[in-house]
Amino acid sequence: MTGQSQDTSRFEISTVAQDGRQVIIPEGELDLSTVPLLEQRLNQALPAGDAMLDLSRVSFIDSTGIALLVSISATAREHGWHLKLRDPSPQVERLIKLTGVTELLGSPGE
Amino acid sequence: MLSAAPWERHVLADPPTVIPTLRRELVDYARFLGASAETCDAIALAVSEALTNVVQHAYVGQEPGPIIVEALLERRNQLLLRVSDEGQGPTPRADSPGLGLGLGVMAQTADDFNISNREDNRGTVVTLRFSLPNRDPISQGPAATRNVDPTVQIR
Repeated sequence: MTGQSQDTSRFEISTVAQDGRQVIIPEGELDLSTVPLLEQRLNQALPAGDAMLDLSRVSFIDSTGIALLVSISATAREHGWHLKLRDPSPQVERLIKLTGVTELLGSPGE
Repeated sequence: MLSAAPWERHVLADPPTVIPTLRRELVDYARFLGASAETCDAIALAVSEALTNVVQHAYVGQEPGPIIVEALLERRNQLLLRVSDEGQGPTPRADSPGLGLGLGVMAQTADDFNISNREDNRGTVVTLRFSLPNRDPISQGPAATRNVDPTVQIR
């Protein structure tokens, strides 16, 4: 069972440098109320160099979050920016499969 | 009966933080009724999609109106969730944000899914049903100790 619901209202984005690459780590629930925060962070980070989006700490995601992953992946390809998705949480992995967008995201499992 | 008491909220469809707030409250209610962790995940996802549709689409070009969320137990082991609004009804939008995945997610996640105009033609109603096959009597389940108020509360 999950813990008290109030604890999951937090949404944080941390960024760490790893092997010369920015690793962006959103933590918490990704929905319409938090997607703009992650979108803003990614739009800041991507032009600055190689980036990795670590999805291991996303505890909830809905189609709004999936739409962001698809659109930011497309934007990165369009501009020649390097973005990789890694370690999707079970919730993220499940919805990627359910929505059939795996190919649009590159290789989220890497 | 406590277990059959319907749950209802009327809230303004703005700001988007109403989505996680209502989602968590509904999942708490479902868990209180004995929904499994897997069913709670499915409910969270489907409800999030329904609420997002209201926030993004129902009141475009007008002041945000209400989201009405109702939940009740049907036939002892089926949870009925109804998300309705008083907006412009389920109409296609050429400028729709997102990928249009929400309806498909609801259809695949819920055991039963329906979206239609409200009977009074004032907005949209989404109906979702989830089976609670292993539902324990409330008085015997560990969920009974959770601090959840299933009584009607309109705000």
